Amino acid sequence: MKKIPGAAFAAVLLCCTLSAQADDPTAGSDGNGLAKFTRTSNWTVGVIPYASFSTTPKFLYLTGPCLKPVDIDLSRLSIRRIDVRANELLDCAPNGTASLTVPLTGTYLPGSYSVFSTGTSRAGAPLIFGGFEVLNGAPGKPTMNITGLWYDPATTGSGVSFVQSKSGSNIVFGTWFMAGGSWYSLQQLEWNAAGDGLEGVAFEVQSKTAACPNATPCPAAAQTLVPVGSVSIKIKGPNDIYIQAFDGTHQSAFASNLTKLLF
Amino acid sequence: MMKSKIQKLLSGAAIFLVVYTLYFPSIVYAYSSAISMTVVPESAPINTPRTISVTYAVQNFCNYPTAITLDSSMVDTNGTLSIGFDYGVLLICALSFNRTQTFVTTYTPVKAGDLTVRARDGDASATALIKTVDGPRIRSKFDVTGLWWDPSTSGSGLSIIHSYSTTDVAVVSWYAHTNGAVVPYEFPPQRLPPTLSARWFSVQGLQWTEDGSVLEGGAAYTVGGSTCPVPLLPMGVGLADCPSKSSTLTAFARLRIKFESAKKARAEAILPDGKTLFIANIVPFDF
Repeated sequence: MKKIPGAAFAAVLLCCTLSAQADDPTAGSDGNGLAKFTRTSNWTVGVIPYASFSTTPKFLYLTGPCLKPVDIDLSRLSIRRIDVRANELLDCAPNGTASLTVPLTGTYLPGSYSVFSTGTSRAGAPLIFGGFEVLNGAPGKPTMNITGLWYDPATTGSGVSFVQSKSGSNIVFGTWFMAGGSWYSLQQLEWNAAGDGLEGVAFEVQSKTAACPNATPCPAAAQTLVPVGSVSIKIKGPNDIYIQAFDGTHQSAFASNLTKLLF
Repeated sequence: MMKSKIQKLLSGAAIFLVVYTLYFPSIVYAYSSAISMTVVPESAPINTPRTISVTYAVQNFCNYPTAITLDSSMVDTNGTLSIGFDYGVLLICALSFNRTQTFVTTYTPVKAGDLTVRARDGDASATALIKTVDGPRIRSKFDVTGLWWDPSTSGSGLSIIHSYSTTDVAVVSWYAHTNGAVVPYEFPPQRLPPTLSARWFSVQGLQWTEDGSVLEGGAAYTVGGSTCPVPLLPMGVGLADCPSKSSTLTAFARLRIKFESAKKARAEAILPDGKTLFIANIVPFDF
């Protein structure tokens, strides 16, 4: 089986994300195995995707009211633990919400992981910790081909387009279309052991600015591919799928009961 | 006393004129409208549905159409298909304000020959031709299901689902970007959040034309009918949009995809005024 969507489409886009992170003075690595990025006081952390296999790319998700520099300490991965270490414990005015995702490096053995913080905010607010799961084994094989256009009769105008590999690699790409006009690219979709469900990541693709002349829509090269949530897909029948989106802290965002458009 | 009444009358008349001018400027100022029209596909065999998109642009308007009507009663006599406009209730006039709206309807010719489609409203009019030839409906030459993209604009593309071996129907979703700017031809103008530049379009009324290597349809955009429960993050990342029921579907361009093979194609988006919006050399994503 081909290795996960390392293939061009995802790779091209992912490299854009990584390079964009590297350009960000608040993100990147400090050269000592610690991924530097920004933190908020009184914030929440999580990992996207929430449940995945060892080899699946993972992203730390962070959200809160303000941003200050912190480090991600991956030295305790063997005991299924990640530490988010604050360099300083300054407090910030809760005048809004910021969030970001950072690619996680390291080797992840199966099990339940916790993400801890080493401090509290100056105001004494706890730094909330989260967790994620690394699944045993390897992705399974699908029980059916889900290529097609799927929609929820309750929200017509929105829907999901799935394209499954013709070459037998079992790779699936999805595009989740929203009636509001935006779309999310569903990637890193991996079959569960039973082959009746997939777990993956919803990415928001942001284009280069000034790519579309005269404010018209057009194809544009991606500038960043940002993981914005996890997706869980359960196949309930040949024409019946349940799909659910979770935010970076594994809180359910929305879900759809999808029916395959037959034509 | 009499003079005072005249003065009051004149004052009232002046106020009336000012108010009238402000609220009903199209009576005072220039009023203009323009119509453009496309038929997809323009040429096809008998019984092939044609998607007719009529774009009505009006400036300094007091009233505007809310729907179109299709009159086929003259098709057999003079080969003309007439499109009329229905108007809504006049509420208020607007000065220096543009409104552009696209109406979509379909017509399926049952006889070979040429038909003229004519849309007229006052001085504004547009015509288009429907060519119908004998023979069965055209079938596609290739199975084109897949994710198609232009390597020069990775991050955009077309998702094509094609029932090649059965009904030969294809459905296309086009995912693109807008720079977070105003989407044209939309009323009211919709400004997308600056970090949410992704924008998708549904391609409707798709038909195979020419020798079965061309797929043509009308690109339309949806407008959500409800508010998402997930709050939009003012900065950073998150699931800012959600599935909702579409309140409207509006056509804005014609999409024509010419397949050289099952591995290579050229996609062209054409605006109602005939101008090319973009051309993309697309290939299927191989995975």
